[in-house]
Amino acid sequence: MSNILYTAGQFLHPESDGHMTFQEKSTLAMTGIVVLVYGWYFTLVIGEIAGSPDREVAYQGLMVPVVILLVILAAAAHAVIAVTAPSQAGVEDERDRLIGLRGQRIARYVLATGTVAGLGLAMGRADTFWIAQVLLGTLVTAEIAEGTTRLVLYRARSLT
Amino acid sequence: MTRPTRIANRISALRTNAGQMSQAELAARVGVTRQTVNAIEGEKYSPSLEVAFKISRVFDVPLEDVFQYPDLRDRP
Repeated sequence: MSNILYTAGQFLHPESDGHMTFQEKSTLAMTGIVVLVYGWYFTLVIGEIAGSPDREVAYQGLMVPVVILLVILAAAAHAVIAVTAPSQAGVEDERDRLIGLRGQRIARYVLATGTVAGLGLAMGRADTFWIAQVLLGTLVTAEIAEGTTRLVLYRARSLT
Repeated sequence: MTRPTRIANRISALRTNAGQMSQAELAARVGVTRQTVNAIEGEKYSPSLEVAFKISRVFDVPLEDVFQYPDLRDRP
């Protein structure tokens, strides 16, 4: 895992010294996990479950393994990150906090847009199945947008 | 979203003068990560005033001996 993160850092910004902070590794791991787990969820839901007559029950049932998978993968990833660099585990400084805030600002726009889309569907009396997918999709997209923004800012030429 | 910082610094030279102090040692004494010291030194990140003062106190020099900000009034 540590080597993968080092290589990812070099790929993202070859001029850097390649070493990532705990927070940057955590962001990279969590963004990857969210993309993988929810990619699997939406592939199933949009691909197969949407056409099923009992889709309301099916997608709610799928939420349980999704949450369990997220928790297990997140815990495993953070355990590996912490073990490979114990002195950095959980460390966060002012640059990490600034980058985090910038990421949250981008995520806020995604959340606002998705919420309006969800409201539009509700006012148009759309099926609750699709309203739920739009709202969940909004949360996931906001999380990915925040993570991606943070990863870009960690490797940016300037952060002012 | 990002633009070059105008704040220059002499941290690398000051570290050398301080017995080849490493970025990691400076980071530990200031209370930030080594990557943040690296970003400050590479002029990719402008630190808070508090961190700037802490850095200048590690080297026991005035703040403006560590960080310089160009006087824009001299520019056309």
